[in-house]
Amino acid sequence: METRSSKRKRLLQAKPEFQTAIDRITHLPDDVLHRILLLLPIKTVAQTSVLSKRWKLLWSSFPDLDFTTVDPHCISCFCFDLCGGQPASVFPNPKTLNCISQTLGIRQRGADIRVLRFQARLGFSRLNGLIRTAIRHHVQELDMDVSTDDYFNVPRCVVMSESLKSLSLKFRPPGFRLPPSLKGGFQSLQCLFLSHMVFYKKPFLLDLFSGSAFPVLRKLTMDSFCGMKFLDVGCQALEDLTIENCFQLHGLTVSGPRLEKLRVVSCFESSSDKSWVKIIAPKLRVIHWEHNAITEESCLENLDSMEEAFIGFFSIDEATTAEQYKSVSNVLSGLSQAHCLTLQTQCIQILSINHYSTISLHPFHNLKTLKLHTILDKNNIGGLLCLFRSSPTLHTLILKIITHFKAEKRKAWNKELWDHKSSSEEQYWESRSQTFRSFLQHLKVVKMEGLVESESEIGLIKFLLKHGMALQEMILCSGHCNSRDPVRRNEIRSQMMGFSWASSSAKLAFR
Amino acid sequence: MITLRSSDGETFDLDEVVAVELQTIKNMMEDGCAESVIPVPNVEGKILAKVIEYCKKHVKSTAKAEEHALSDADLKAWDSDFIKLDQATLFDLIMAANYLDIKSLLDLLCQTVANMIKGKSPEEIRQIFNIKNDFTPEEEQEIRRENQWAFQ
Repeated sequence: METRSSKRKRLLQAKPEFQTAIDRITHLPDDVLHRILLLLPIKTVAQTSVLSKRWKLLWSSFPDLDFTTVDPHCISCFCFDLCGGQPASVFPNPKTLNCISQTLGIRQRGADIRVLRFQARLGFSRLNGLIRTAIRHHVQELDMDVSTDDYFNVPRCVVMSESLKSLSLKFRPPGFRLPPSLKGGFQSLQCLFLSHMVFYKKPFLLDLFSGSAFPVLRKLTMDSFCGMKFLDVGCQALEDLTIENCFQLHGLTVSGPRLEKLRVVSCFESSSDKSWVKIIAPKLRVIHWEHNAITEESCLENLDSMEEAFIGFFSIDEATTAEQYKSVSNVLSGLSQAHCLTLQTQCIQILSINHYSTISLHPFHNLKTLKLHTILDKNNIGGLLCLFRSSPTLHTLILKIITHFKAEKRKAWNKELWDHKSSSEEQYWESRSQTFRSFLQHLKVVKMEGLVESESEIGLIKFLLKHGMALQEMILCSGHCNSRDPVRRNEIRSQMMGFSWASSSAKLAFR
Repeated sequence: MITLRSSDGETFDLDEVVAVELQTIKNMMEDGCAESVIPVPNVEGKILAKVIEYCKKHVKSTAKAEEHALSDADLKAWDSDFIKLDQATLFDLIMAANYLDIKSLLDLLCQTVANMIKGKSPEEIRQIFNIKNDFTPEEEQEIRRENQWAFQ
């Protein structure tokens, strides 16, 4: 029988694989091991603390603490804090574990935290404690998605932190408040996301983003600022600004020497008088304006770098006032340098209003692509005409047709609409074609989506084929269920061949 | 042409376009302190050979490289063959990639090690990597308690 010692000797003298039972992984340097651990979910990383003493140290100095992958119930507590002298109502949860507190509790002294990210429902004192500990460990990126029972006052240490580069405060209603004075604060902050910040006692925050705070802020997102009426954003280093769901907004001023991207969605109070928006941003390339009520006054100045603009308004079905019309045409004129413009249906409807059409738009000299999401009918044609007149060098026209829910879906093939005789819709275009001659001389690609073969659509298609001198491609995508009917397509095609096209190289495609 | 010399005296010739994948070497070249033969004292010959093999495969965009360029799928397949290594070579490669600052190789190797750890219990991890447990049973209990949420 082999004794243990003789077995050991045998194994040692055997092949090299049995000899090298060396722990090689532990000899890697800290930063390399952290790099490996960063690829694992945080729960696994925490478990490695039990492997050996070295690994325990690795965990207690682990730089990125992202608890969002952990079950949120494990961080929450359902204890209410003592606030306003009310007795505390405590609903203890026997299974409550506090991952973050435990992790921060065993944190190695001097081990800075790079990222702290979590999602939870917390009481005030716990949330305050977490924030203070993170700031004390020089956290660079703090990302919280929390709900509290009452307004939470963000502690001043957050404002004064010199290490904080990225801050994301996503609260649920009722929301949070920042300290009243931010002077000298947020000196290193580059990226800021605020959701559900409360403004009711201070509807003015005119100097929040235009004073000395936020000297290096590059990206700012504001969502659901309850009660905010006036906003002035003028951070010197700001490149990317997003404002969403600020329904009580009356006045917005945005000025930034470095601003490149602006997104404003679902803002402005529709019933307010004297609302305004003013944008002065010489480097602005991209603007996305959607679902916003039309402001009384709009002023877009110096947008010389404009490339891409998306404009859509929120309008209740009331008659547009003269001021609103002027406001919309100011917005569009302010975007006159754009290369690519997308307009939603309200813009087109407003431009179509006859008695205001004496105001003409500033021409879009750089415009190469025009995308229109619109209803196409007799009421909207005027708006299209206005745009064609103002787009002298347009390359591509894309019409995404929205069908009014009341419109009849034409199922039967109506041959007459497609024949070579000019319909009244076509005549509308033909009688005015001199006013947008340049447009017809340059237009190369037309794409129409969601076609229901209404008279207006067919009139326009025929007109463009007959008069589009530079036309290369016309793509038609049907909105019908029987869209792929090849027989129908062939019928349309053969009808189209029956009249002369202005451009001999034009191709017709169906999708 | 750049020549690298490993710790055990082996030399390797590389095109400049491959040499710049090694950030450390690239910095040397830019700072002008790259002599005719660059010593790489921390890395053995057989490991340096593997590093260079990886870089040659992954070198991007010159006209010459495009002829031999592999598609993304092919490259991924080559990578998964490349990482079939014994632990000794794997960790030596990690140290080399770290020293020579080759991000893509380091990412690949770290992901390989992470995949070996993922989903395993601490005991299994110790076995795979031969990690010696230097805790007393009481100490180990203490750590499990301190990080209770992770062991639930």
